[in-house]
Amino acid sequence: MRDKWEIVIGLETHAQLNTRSKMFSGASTAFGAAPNTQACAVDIALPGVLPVANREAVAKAVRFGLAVNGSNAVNINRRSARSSPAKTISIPTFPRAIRSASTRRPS
Amino acid sequence: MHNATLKSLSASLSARAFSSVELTRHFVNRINQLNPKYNCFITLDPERSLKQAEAADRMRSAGRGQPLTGIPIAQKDIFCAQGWLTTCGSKILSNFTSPYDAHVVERLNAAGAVTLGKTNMDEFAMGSSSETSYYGPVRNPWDVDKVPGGSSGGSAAAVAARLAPSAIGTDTGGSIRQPAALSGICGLKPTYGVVSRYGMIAFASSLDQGGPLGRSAEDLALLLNVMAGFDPRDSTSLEREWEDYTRELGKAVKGLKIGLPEEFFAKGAAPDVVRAVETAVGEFRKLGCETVEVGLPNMKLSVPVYYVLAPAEASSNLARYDGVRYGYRAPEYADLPDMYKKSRAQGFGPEVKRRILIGTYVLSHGYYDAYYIQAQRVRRLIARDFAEVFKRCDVIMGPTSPTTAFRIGEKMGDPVQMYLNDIYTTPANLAGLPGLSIPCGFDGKGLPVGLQMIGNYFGEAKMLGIAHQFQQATDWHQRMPPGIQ
Repeated sequence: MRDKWEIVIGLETHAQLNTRSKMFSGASTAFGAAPNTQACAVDIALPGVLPVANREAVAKAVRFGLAVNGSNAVNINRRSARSSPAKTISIPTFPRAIRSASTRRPS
Repeated sequence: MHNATLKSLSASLSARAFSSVELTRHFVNRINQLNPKYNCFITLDPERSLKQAEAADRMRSAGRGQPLTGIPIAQKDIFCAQGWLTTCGSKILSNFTSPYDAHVVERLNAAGAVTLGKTNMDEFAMGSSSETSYYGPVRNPWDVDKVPGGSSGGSAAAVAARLAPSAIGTDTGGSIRQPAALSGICGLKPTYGVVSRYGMIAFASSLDQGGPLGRSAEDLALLLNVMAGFDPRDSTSLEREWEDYTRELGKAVKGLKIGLPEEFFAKGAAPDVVRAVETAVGEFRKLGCETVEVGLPNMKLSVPVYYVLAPAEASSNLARYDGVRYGYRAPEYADLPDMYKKSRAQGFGPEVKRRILIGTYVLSHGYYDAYYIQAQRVRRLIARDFAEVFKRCDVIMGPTSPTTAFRIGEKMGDPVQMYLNDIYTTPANLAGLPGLSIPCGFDGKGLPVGLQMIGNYFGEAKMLGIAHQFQQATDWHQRMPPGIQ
C-alpha cells in the first residue's frame, strides 16, 4: 500500500501587492498612518455599501502569474470573468462577511 | 396639488404657479393628517424637507431647474440618505442614521428633488405585504383592513393615498410591482444593473433593483430618468449611455406583438384578476396590437428557485448586523459571541430569521450542490425561456399578482401562501428583465388589479411607451381610493 503513494509538496505563497488602495475598497493602504484613518464605509460594512475589486491588484496578480509562467494567471482571468461561489465567513476583522472561496473552479 | 402628475407639477413650479416650499408643505400637511391611518412613513423630517424645498426654489429662480427640481419624492427606507434615520424596517437598524447617500439619493438630490420622508416596508424587504416591518403594518388606502402589498408597501400606499406625488422603491422578487398592483398605482423594476445598488441596503444582491413608483407611466419615465445611471461603486452597474425614458411615450403601438404566456393565466389566478387582465389585453388589440400565445415551461419553478437563491444571498448580506459598529445591541450579554447572538436574536424579526436559516442551510457543506447550484442552473433555464419567447413577441403581458389585496394577518401564519404571491413577479428578477405593473381594473370588492408587462433587456422606454398609450385610452390609473379627494 505504502509503495503506491507519491509525495507531492506544494507551496502556498502569499505576497502583499503594492497597490495604493485596498483589494475591495478605495481606502488607503499606507503603512504607519494614525489608527482609524485607513478605513472607509465599505471596510466597516455600513448598510448598503458594496465591495468593488481593485483593478490594479487584479492586473498585478495576472502580470505576476504570467512572469513566473504560472497557470494561475489563466485561472485569475477566468475567475474575474465569471462569478465565483460565495462563502460566508463571519469574523470580527471581516464584518462584510462575503468572501470568494477558491474551493471550486467556476464551471 | 396632490392629484397632479409629475409633469404638471414640474410645469407649475416652472411657471411659478406655486413654490416648492408651498408644494412640500401641502404634502407634509396631508401626511400629518392621514399617515396615522395608513402608516406609510417611518421617518418624517419636515424641517429638512422644507430646507431642500427652499434650495430647489432658488435653483429654479437661478434658471437651473430640472424636471424634478422642487418635487417631493418619498423614499423607501432601504435607501441610505445622509442625516436620515435609515431602518430598513428593522429593529436592528432602528438607531442607524446614515452618514452617506445612496447613488440614487445623490442623483435625486442633484436633480433638486425634495426628500419627503422614508417609507415603511417589510423588514429588510422580506415580505409581500408590508406586515413584517418593526414599525407595524402599512394599510391599503383602498381598504384599510387589507395589506398594500410589499415590500415597498409604504411607498405604494403613499402614492395611492396622494401623500406623495411619486416614490422610489426596490424590487427583489416583485417588491415594486406587487404593491403597485395591490395599491392601484404604477411601478417599474428596471433591467438589472440600470439603477445602482450602492447605498441600497442589500437583501439578495443578484436580484435587487431600484425603481420608481408613481401614478402614470409618464411619471415613472421622468423618475427613472433621474434614478438610472452608471456608478463605479456598484460592480454590476451597467456602463451605458444615458437614455431618455420618455422618448417612446408618443409612439403608437399598432402592430406590436404581445406574448401571452399560458402559465400566467393557468389556475391559481383569481377569476376577477384574469378577467381584468384579459379586458386590458383586449384594449391593446383595439389599439392595433397582435397577441401570440407563448410558453414559459420553467416558470413554475421560479418560486422554489427564488426561495433558495434569495435567502442564500440574504444570509451573507445580513451577517454584518452584529451590534458592534452600528445598529441595535442587546443591553445584556455575557461575552462577545453572546453579544452577537443576543443582538441578532432580539434585533431581527421572525421572517428575517427564517430566511437567514434557510439561506445558511442551502449554502452549507453537503447541501450546496443540491440546492444552491441546482437553483442557479434552473435560473438559467428560466432566462432561456424568456430569450425564446422574445424571438416571437415584443413584450409579455399577464397579471402582476394572482389575487387582489388580502386581509392584514391573513397569510402571516403561512409563509408558503405568502411566498406564492410572488409567482408572476420573481421570473423577471431571476432573468434580470424589466417588469412593469399598471392598474387595469378592479375585482368585485373594488380592489385594484395590476397588469404586468415584462420586456426584453433595456426595454424600459418601449414598455413605458406601451403603458402610456394604454393610459391615454383608459382611466384606470386615475381612479382614486374611496375617501381620497
